Amino acid sequence: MAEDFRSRFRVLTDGSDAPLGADHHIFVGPQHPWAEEPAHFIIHVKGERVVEANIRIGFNLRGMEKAMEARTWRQNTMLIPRACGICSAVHQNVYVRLVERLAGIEDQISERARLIRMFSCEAERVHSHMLWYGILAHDTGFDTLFHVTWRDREIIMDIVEDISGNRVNPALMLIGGVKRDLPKERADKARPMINDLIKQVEYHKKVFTEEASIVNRLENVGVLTKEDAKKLTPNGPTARGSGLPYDIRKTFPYELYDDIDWNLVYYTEGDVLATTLVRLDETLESLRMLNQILDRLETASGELLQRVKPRISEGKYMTRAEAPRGEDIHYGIANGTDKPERYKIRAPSLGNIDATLKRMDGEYIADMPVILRSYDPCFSCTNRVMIINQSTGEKKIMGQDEFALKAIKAKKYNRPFF
Amino acid sequence: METLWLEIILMITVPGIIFILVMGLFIDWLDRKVYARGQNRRGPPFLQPLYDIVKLTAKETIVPKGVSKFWYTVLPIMFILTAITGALMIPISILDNTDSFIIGFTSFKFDVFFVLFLLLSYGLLIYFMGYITKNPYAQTGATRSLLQVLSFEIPLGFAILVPILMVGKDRSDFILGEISKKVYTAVGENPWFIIGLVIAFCVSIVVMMAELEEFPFDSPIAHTELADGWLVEYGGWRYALIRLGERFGAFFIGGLIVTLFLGGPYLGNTLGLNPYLGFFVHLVIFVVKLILVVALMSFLRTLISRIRIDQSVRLAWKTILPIALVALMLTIGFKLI
Repeated sequence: MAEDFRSRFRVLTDGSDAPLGADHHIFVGPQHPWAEEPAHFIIHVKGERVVEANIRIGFNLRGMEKAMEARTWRQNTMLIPRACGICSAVHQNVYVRLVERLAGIEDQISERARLIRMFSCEAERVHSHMLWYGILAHDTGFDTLFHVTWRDREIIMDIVEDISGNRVNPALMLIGGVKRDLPKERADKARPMINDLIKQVEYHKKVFTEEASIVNRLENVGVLTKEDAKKLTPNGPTARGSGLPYDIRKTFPYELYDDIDWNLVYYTEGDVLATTLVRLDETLESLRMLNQILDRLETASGELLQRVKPRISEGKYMTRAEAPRGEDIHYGIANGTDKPERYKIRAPSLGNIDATLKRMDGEYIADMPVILRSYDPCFSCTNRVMIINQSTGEKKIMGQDEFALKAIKAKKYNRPFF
Repeated sequence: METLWLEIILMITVPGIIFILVMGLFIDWLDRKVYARGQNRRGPPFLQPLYDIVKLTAKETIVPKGVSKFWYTVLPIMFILTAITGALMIPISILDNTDSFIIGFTSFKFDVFFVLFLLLSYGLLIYFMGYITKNPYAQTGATRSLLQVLSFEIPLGFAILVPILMVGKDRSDFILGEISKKVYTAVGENPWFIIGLVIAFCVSIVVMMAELEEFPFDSPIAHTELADGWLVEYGGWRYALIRLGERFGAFFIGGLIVTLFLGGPYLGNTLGLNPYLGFFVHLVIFVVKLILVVALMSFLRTLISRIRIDQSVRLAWKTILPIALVALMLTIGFKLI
């Protein structure tokens, strides 16, 4: 298994390590109309066919983990949703559960607080998936569907705004519970909107499965077989589109996901259409879950916020959750003070890159945007570590000391760290 | 002498260059507005195309390294001149009714066939404009554009032959204006012609979208794959010229369809009118028909997604070409009966 695995991550970007048989090298990004986010793709092609596709990441390091070490656990609750532009609630959920476990209060969270957390996470999944398949339609050149889906996405954005006060960054969760309640009049206002949205998403699914021109662009394109998927370990909808029924909400249930009636969606075809259908079906499942959560909130009771001491006792713990893009893993070390010793975020996009670039092998260049979009790239939450400084072409690995020197210098002159 | 001066004034002003410029900008606005309304958006304000052109001319122009500045300058100018030449061939309106039918300003005998040459050179100039910039995106886009134009040229040729065959007589001149005048008469004489005409009209609408690289056939300038393809290196006033050239091309090809299949500026017999009133009536009829064709094309754009280049070439050879051949053969058959 190890010998046929070749990493797709590159540092050199001049195409000098091209595979045999490639005659052209196409460089996509970090500035390209296809991608909103900075990543550099090196695509080796022979004629119109792709031989191998590689990636270089690292254009968007924001030093968030370092910044977390300088702030208290409580302050970090509001910093951590900024890890990602779209899936902010799930990052906060993972963080909050990690700190609760370290503080030893994870059993005292009330049912009502957990339900509100789940509502936030699932609403986020809905709008993230709708955003994704809208952009996929734009990539295939179907701008009408793009505009229609984004118009309908406003419904769920309005629900989130009504409940939390913000559109994409609800920030409802706190260590020990949630920040605000979801009262009955808001729930009554949200219910008909959710039912409207279910109808709209069913219509989107109909377009994606019945409109011949878009099916032609997605079907049998970028097939990732189950065997390849097992080797390259994708997660989230990418894995579920290839026949790996792996979802953290089912496999390692957190919050109250084992209490709620929902189905795990997976397809076995492995092409981009299967990935799309996974997301469409998941959107419908999440919308039905939202309705169930609202029903349960009528009777669920309990305190919204538990009291937590600011100093977290020594220990380390890892939590994970199913983000819209896949498995989101956080690892934190507490040293007994009110600040974390070290905190590590592994966002789902990183785990999907290898599998997605494997999809590119032997495909047309014209399918490049669709395939690369298929795992919902999110590089702002992927870029965590800067290893190599590659100005003037020479490789230079920045060690611990240099980092420390830079940090001291930055502090001295009151400059930003990077 | 007096008619010559009148003709020059008309060529510069109303059915001439200024009219084409205004109509080109109007077509741009109409296209974007219909497209936006089809997608449930608001669309641009009325003067937005004019603002775009004015803004682009004020931008800095950058000539890429290693690119011949001569061709980089000349080709966009040639592009817009080709489009204007084509647009001036379309019979729109004329002030005196001494002639038996309306002709375009640059029109001559057998110009129906010259129009095909203009269309092909329009596509070839796109290829050269992409090719000289030496950008991989531009070269890929230019190659795709050439492939697409060459594929769709043949069905277009067969589709154009249908009205020519319907109208053509032994001593015919094969001028666009003659065809536009006589196409309804020919259908009136032999109603079966309408089948071939409708099929050829549908084929030519599809081919027009492909020639203009409009939405389902826009893989040469695919925004998400090739970053606008062959246009990628152009900026400033050269880009403004290309934009205008595309819109003049839309006027040209749309006007060609109106002329060949919808009777051009004629709607029944309007030749007996007062010259000034007739001039105005012909102009209005032509503009209304052109608006209908452009709006139909813009609406069709909203319906399906982009077709990959291999799919569009396959579509051209395996679907569109046989349909155009069927239309042509039906017309020949009805002509012989």
